[in-house]
Amino acid sequence: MSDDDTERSIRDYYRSITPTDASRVQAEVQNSIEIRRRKAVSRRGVWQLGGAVGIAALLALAVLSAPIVLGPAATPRLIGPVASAPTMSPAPTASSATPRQSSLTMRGSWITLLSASGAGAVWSADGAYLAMWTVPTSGPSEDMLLLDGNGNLVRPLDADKIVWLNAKQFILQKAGVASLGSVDTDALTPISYSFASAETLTNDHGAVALSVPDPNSPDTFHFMIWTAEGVTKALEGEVVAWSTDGTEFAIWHPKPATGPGGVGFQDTGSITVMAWPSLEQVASVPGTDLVAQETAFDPSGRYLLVSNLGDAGSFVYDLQGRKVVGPEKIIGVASWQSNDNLLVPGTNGAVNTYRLDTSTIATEDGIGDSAISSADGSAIATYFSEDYSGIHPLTLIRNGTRLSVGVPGGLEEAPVIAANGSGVVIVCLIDYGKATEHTELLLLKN
Amino acid sequence: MATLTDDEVAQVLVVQTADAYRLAAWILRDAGCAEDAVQEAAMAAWDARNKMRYADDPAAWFKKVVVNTCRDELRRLGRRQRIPLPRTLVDAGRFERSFCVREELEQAIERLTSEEQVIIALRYGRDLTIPQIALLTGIAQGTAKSRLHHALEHLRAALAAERRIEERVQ
Repeated sequence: MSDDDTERSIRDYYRSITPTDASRVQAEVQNSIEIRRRKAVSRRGVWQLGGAVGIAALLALAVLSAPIVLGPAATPRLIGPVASAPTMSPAPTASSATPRQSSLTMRGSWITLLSASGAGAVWSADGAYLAMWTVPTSGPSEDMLLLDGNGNLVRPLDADKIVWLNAKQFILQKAGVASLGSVDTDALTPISYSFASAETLTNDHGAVALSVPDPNSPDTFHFMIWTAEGVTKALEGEVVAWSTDGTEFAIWHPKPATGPGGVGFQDTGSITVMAWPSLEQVASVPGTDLVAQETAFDPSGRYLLVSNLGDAGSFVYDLQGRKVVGPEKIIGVASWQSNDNLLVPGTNGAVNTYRLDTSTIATEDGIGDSAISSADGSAIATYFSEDYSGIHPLTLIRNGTRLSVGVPGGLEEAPVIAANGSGVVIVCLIDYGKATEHTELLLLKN
Repeated sequence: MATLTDDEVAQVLVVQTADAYRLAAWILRDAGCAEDAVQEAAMAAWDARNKMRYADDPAAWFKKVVVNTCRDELRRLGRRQRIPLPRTLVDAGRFERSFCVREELEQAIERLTSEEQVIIALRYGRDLTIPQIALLTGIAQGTAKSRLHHALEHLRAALAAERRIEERVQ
């Protein structure tokens, strides 16, 4: 076969590849964008969730509880405080500000305390409080409520955005003005520093990393660390993870983009680790062509997980030993388990657990294509991220016990787990695509 | 420099989906994988729309995202040692060569690196020139040329080997 024949064969081969009708794919993309836009609206008012997100995967020795199915979706409405008792009482027929008790039963060690018309929530550092924003009853603004960990209303918060500083203090932003607040008092102390549109990442110990893109070069970031005592100088990079004790943070340094128009995607870059508050560089993760999706410290702070789409695959870097450890070329976006094992959602609902010490792998089928955990790695939720029809399976695991939950509709966003694993907020998207479409917020406590 | 609103970004992504699907199908040679890749690329582009809205050519920017997504998918498939044959896409009636040649080509392409597979698909599926391939994949023209040359050598060798086996059998 001549060179020309070879090239002709290759060309013919590719021309024989005729995709099926693309209109369905087009419709799916359009739908997905619409969903993202709705999610963006529902997330308005939250700053980035604090703390490194670890993963727990107590896949072995788990006791499967009887699955429960959540109650029927309620009409969207603003609700007020809710009762803490985990009873089966029906929703009261009082005004819209009246508490609506959970319609769920208690299963295993998890109790559903709140079923509300909520759009999202963010936990305080110790899981004792949470800020929840509700679906607006009128106008574009969402309402933000401060609740205790059992779902009882502490007070409404007049704010567009919130970021927790620690167990009790938080920063609120309203119309561009930032204030320091506390769960113990209604009083707010104005903050002179303007947070503007910075990406924020709290260490849950009083410091907040502010990452700001360069307006002239969207690929270039600078960051500062804010505390009540002041703000550090601007340094190059974007803070992407804090250690759970708040003493170290990881910084992403993207390379200049090379794509069309000088704008690229999945740009490569490198990662360094700095100590806080000294701002001394403590590590430089190997690789200058990383395509990092997620970066997370393990609960002990010794290891840094880089979920990487680049050639090296995902890997674990030992910050003490200064070397890559564990299984080679982990595929997928991995997360931490409390005992320094890795959890990696695989394909077809399978979840893999990698043991760092032995490099062995255990696989469990049918529990989700996504997983998320508490920062301390003690609690984990596995779920299917893109299914918005019927009853959506979600698995909660903590301390060796497991609860299988049937969530109505689909998950509007990833479950929000308190840093210590004591509570989970789930926002469901119900009746997707119908006139009755709405979100429902569930609060489960362990 | 264009600055697109969210609505305009969404419109570009939806309008470009059909072409992106063809592109993904050539690279991945599997309808299901191509659908997933386009969906993933569109969502990634939407999430990164603050970059896309400033691109000189947003449609070309999205194509680059699609190519990158497909390349990553090829890497994942390669690590799993599972690359499905493109039977769902191949129209045997339009294919002028023998079934054996097609099988040989499929297997030979599967043995290429993900980067080489992308370049072969862009060159012979999309009919792009070397400069166009370099622009779309973000690599230097020389790199694109050498990768294409290397890939072709591999394919020629594979086809020649299969032909020798056939001749011996006959």
